[in-house]
Amino acid sequence: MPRWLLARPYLHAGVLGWINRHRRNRLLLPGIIIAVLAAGALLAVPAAGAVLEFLGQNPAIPFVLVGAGTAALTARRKTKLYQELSRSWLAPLAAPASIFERMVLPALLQLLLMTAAWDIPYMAGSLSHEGVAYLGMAAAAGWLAGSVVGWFSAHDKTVGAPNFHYVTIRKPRPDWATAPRLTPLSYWAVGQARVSAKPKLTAKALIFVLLALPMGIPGEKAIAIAAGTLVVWYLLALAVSAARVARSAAQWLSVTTVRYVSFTGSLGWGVLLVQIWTCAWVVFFTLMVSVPLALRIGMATFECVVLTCVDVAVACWFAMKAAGMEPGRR
Amino acid sequence: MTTETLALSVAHLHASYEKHAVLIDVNLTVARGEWVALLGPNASGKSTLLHCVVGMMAPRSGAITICGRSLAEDVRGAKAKLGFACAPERLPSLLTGRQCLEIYAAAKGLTSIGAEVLELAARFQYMKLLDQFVGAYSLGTRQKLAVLLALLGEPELIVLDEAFNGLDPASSLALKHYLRERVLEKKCSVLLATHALDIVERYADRAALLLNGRIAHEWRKEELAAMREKSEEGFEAALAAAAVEAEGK
Repeated sequence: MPRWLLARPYLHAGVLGWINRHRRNRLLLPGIIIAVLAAGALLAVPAAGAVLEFLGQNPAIPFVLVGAGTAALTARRKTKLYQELSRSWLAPLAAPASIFERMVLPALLQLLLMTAAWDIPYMAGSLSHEGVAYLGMAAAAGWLAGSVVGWFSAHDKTVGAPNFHYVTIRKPRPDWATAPRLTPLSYWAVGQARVSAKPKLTAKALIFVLLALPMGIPGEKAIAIAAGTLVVWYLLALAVSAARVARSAAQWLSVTTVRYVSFTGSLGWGVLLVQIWTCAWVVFFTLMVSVPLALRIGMATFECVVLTCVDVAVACWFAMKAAGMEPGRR
Repeated sequence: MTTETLALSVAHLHASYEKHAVLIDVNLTVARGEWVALLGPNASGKSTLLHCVVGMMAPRSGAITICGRSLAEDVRGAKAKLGFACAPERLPSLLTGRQCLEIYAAAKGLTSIGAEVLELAARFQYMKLLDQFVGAYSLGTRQKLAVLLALLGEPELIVLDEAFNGLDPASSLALKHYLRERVLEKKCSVLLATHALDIVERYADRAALLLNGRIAHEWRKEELAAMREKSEEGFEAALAAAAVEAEGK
């Protein structure tokens, strides 16, 4: 190992970790190479070029997608690195934390992969010169803006435990000790969704949505789009949280004899209730503007709730199966 | 005592998690060649105090000095004097024990891993597990590795948070003897947060009781020795009485 790497324990540990991953699973590296080659071959297909050409003609879309993605990744990376300063096994060492290197290297890798994504179809002839130029500029601008927004949106404090929240249950169930239920499982999922959809986070995503709006759009429409984005974000956060919590909860409860129906029902009901409540408000507000629009949104929200039902049912099934809980047992 | 004779000085330390105050005006010193035990019920702030001392958590206010170096002004200088056994679950599961020791030694700028640490590893029966992944270790084995990492480079102040948890009796005894010898030779000082009262009675030079974020009581070496001699229940009864008295205040 080079001397400069030995003096940087975080990088040293990271490199050894990757080497060990490869040692433990000899198929990992060839698998990654095959996946990259397959992705490259897929990009050379004319259909991929057509999609990228469309994105090149509508630069707002790649700008928003790349910007939001980069902002999320940068913020997440920064938060993780700063959390490690107070939580890592290497934290007590009097050695550099290599924040700069660990922030910049993945960002450059992302830029390299993005560049390859439009260079391959360009070289294959399925993407025009103008298309690649507009796409490149929009994505690069999104990457730059996303990096800046992501860096400044994440906190760099090591004070206190990360994600530390004191939650006060306002009204505990009186018979929680004499008649315990599984219902807090759904509070767990809803709580997690609220953390993922807190205004601090969603406001930053909204910046990109508002930036992507065409010039001259009426104010009320812009507000409606922003509000719609927030609602969609929250509904998605609920669905994702339910699936994530199903996995954690199943592992935690794997030593118990909880059944699939009660596990899924307890976890899902709160999530669905919050979704239905949110959708009802959206439909109510839309009703005041236009009845046909409210009907259309009502149908969409109904589909969303149904999809969440399926999401929770499938997630709980696989989570219980992975935890060895026999979800099919009656 | 001057800062020159102190391995650790904590003065008027306040720390909090968001608005929840955890440490309130904590003052504590550890002299060179002294073993201080930090006691207190769960959630009394022991781990928070240790995390502040090793620089893993920034306090709201107060001063921490390690071997004459201020943790706020000279972080690297202060940390260079420290050895801290991190929580076993924080060790990287994807690395082997040998790799962990190697990384720590390289980061501390050591040219070799000390013979004393390797000897202790042998007494821990740990050498045969060196090339296994940390992820495959039991709690006790992880604890052994965390302790060995803390002892690398002959630190002047060793900070241990419940480091005897999960250790088998033979390894626990080996570690106690190792620390006692080094403390007696004035090669290091120890600050140990623990619930194991036998360690306090037999090995510690001084003990401090942390209650609701404040140092509620301190026992000197002579007091500990007297309690050991006089009382049947030993330190346990004295600790309970001090806790009740502090709660009454």
